[in-house]
Amino acid sequence: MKSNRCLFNKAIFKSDIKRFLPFAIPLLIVDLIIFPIIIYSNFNLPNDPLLLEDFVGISVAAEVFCFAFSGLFALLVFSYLYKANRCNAIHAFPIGRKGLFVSSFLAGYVLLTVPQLIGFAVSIPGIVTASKETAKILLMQFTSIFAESFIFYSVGVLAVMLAGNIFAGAVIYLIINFFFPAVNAITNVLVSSISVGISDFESNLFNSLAFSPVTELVAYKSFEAYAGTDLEDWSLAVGLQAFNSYYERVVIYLIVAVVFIALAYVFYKIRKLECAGDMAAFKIEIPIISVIVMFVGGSLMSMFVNIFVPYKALGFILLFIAFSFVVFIVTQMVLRKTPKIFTVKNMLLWAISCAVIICSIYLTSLYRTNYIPKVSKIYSMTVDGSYDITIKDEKVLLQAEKFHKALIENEKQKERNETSLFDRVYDYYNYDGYDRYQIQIGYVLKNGKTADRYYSFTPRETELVKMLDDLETLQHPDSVFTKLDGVEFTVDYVRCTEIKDQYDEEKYISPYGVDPTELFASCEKYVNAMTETYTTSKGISDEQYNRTATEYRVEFECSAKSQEDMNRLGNNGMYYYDPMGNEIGSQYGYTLNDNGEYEYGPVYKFTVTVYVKNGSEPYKMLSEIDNVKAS
Amino acid sequence: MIDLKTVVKSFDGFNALDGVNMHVNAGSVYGLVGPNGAGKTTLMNTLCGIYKADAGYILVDGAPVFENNSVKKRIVYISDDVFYFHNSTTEGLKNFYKGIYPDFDEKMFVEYAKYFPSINPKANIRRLSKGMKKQVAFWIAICCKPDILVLDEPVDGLDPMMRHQVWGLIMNEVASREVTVLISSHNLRELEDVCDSVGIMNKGRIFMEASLEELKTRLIKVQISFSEEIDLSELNVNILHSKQSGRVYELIVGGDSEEIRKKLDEKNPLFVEELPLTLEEIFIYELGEADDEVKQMLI
Repeated sequence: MKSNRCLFNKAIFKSDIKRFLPFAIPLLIVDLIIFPIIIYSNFNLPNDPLLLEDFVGISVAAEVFCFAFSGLFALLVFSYLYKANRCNAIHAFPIGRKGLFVSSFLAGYVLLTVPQLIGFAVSIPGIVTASKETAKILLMQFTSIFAESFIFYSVGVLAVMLAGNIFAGAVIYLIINFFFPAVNAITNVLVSSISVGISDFESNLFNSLAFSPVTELVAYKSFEAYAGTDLEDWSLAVGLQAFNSYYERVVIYLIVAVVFIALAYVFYKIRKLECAGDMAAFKIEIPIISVIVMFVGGSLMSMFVNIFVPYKALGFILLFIAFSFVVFIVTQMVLRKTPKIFTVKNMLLWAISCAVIICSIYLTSLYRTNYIPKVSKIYSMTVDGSYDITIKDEKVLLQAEKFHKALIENEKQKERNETSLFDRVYDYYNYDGYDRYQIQIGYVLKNGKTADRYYSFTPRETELVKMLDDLETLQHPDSVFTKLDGVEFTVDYVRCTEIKDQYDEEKYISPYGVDPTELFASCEKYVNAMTETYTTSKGISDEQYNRTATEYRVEFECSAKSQEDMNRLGNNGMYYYDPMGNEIGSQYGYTLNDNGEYEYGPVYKFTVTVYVKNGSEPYKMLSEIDNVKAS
Repeated sequence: MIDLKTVVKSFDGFNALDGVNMHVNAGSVYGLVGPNGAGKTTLMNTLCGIYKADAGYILVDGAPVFENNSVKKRIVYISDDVFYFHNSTTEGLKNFYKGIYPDFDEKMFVEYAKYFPSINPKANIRRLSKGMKKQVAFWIAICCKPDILVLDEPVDGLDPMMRHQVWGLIMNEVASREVTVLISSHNLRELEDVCDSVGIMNKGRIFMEASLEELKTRLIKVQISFSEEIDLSELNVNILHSKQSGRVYELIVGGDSEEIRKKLDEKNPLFVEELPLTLEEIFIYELGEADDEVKQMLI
């Protein structure tokens, strides 16, 4: 204040702290609850893997609160920019914009971090008395919160500078954090629905998270950090290792955060104060926001209505043209605060954006439809038909390539008969698993990239069935699965994977080439080892599914298992990374009873069903059956 | 002291200030008059360094105002919509201003409390009436001991007694510390008593600027009577307005008063009497036919 270069004004800082202190109290309460829980979790982690879930969950919860409050404090301390009289009065003071920015920025950051520091201070006795490794992981946990506060807060401050009012500030904060995953998700659904072969929604979405600080950090702090580790052997050392990888990311985001703060300051400096109350602080934002909203709003509305409209791609395009126009003009009216937006410039902007979006989606979908990587570029290919096979052999890859082409052609034929845009997407996500094959073709390329496509066909499409059989037989001549029509397990151990490294094939603990009798015996043995009661029924033929196969099924029930049994079960699949976010705990609904036992509540049925092709020969036994066993 | 040269400030292509030229002498009270939307508030905001002018320059004692703290600390601005923080008290706001303005005089704050008996310094400003909020703003602004006081519709909302008191305080500051005061208003009657210079603004421009003394010598109002009816054009003076009642004429005449008097005497009137001109009348006839809209707003 005393000179033009003065960077800090005590009066502004004190005033901000005093006025917004009440908003820090809920954060303090949350921190005082969360930090002790983190400590408790850490104390018990080495002995109780089940608490790993809690630990991860609480860390994520701390981060989510940190994200919310970072945005809130950024909005609060700079809220004077949004009210004309307050904005004018403050800028009439003998304080430069640099001084105002720094003083308010620091006030917001102090309000954000002091509750965390208090939570940390309360936790110090816990850290001091913990083992060296636990103390280290706790310290890392706490420091991560401070780093994240800084990152999220910088995003919040940048959003505030781009907005003209508090509502727009909050929206822009969310847009910056979730823009890429959201646009990626919508684009992917659109492209998938138009292209032949549903593409891998999950992996595409995951790739875009790097542009979303909050989702990326949450991912790295939670499942991603542990997904690459063998959770059977989870220990504090593994946790520390996971944290190292997390910190690598945090450092990158911290650098980005500093850039964001510098940008926010530049925007503050060039910001015209008369924009107070407007939606956008800079005029250039209006067309950008209009096009983004037009794309998101127009797509979602078109997708919804397209369900009721025939002609898949054409129907969608026509709907998108109509809805994007409506969304565009409404957005323009809101942003410009006037109904007079029907200018040539605006109409051209809408028309060009609309054309670019439609062409991009259509061309991308066309590319995806026909995309089959060259065999020479493939590191491995996965065909998940009757069961999952991973192909590396060139001869088998060539056969698989033919199969993939046949699947594409089959889909193209079907496309003509479908009535709505999302039939196949709907079918895929609502697949009942009985009346058709759901084929996943996955590629891991030598350059590390991956591509996944999903197709479906019915057992009545005999040519494709035969091609799949041939491919599976070529890959595993002795596999029981070449003779079986399918095997279904509701027990999760069959989905447990051992990931050797990032791209190595997943080794399913499912018995290749197992005689059903032996399989059942093994299942029974396994089940017997851990359940108190079970029932079996074999030789059930179920006409309901119109299968040309004999179905064998083993069912068993279990409840009230000891912690030891559950841990053992856990080692074979309790703690796996499920990209859909369905944690095993919630699937099983287990609870800890008074005797320290985990209970499935009240009774859970496990089923192993084997579909045997009629007329097939008895199967050879293979030693992989041992993998089924629990021990 | 304050100089504005061809200042332009536009919002969405609309020129709120369209080449404003203005000069305010040190220690003077300058009234900025104009209808709503004339650009008065924009001019004040630009003058206080809130808005950055798109073109032209604003100087205070030769130094630019925008982002210049050494100049801005000499200026205190009271806007029409008084500034205070939500939940702040007069006491709290005083402490805030004390941290902002280095010359803030706390003793003066205590001393001036007697002029604002209805204000409880510990009461929440939000709960005060508009007039009381204005009083708080004046109380604190004066204690900042500024060299330039910028007031946007300053006494709007104050009762006559408080108006009188506030003007008294401001005039006291002008007299004792030679504070320069810039006041915007659309109430000419109010300005007449306090201003020594005025600028008339409309459509983003100041199209007339003069001291009140100067204005008053440019126009005279006379009551004149002749023995018989005459054609006023024979008087050979610049009559801006005339009103006849029998053989008595009331004339507002532009030009040098001595010269006018001489010309009127040549026609042997029965009597001639010079009447006082109000500021309203001066503006009406100075503006002529051109700005009816402004006249309507001002009078």
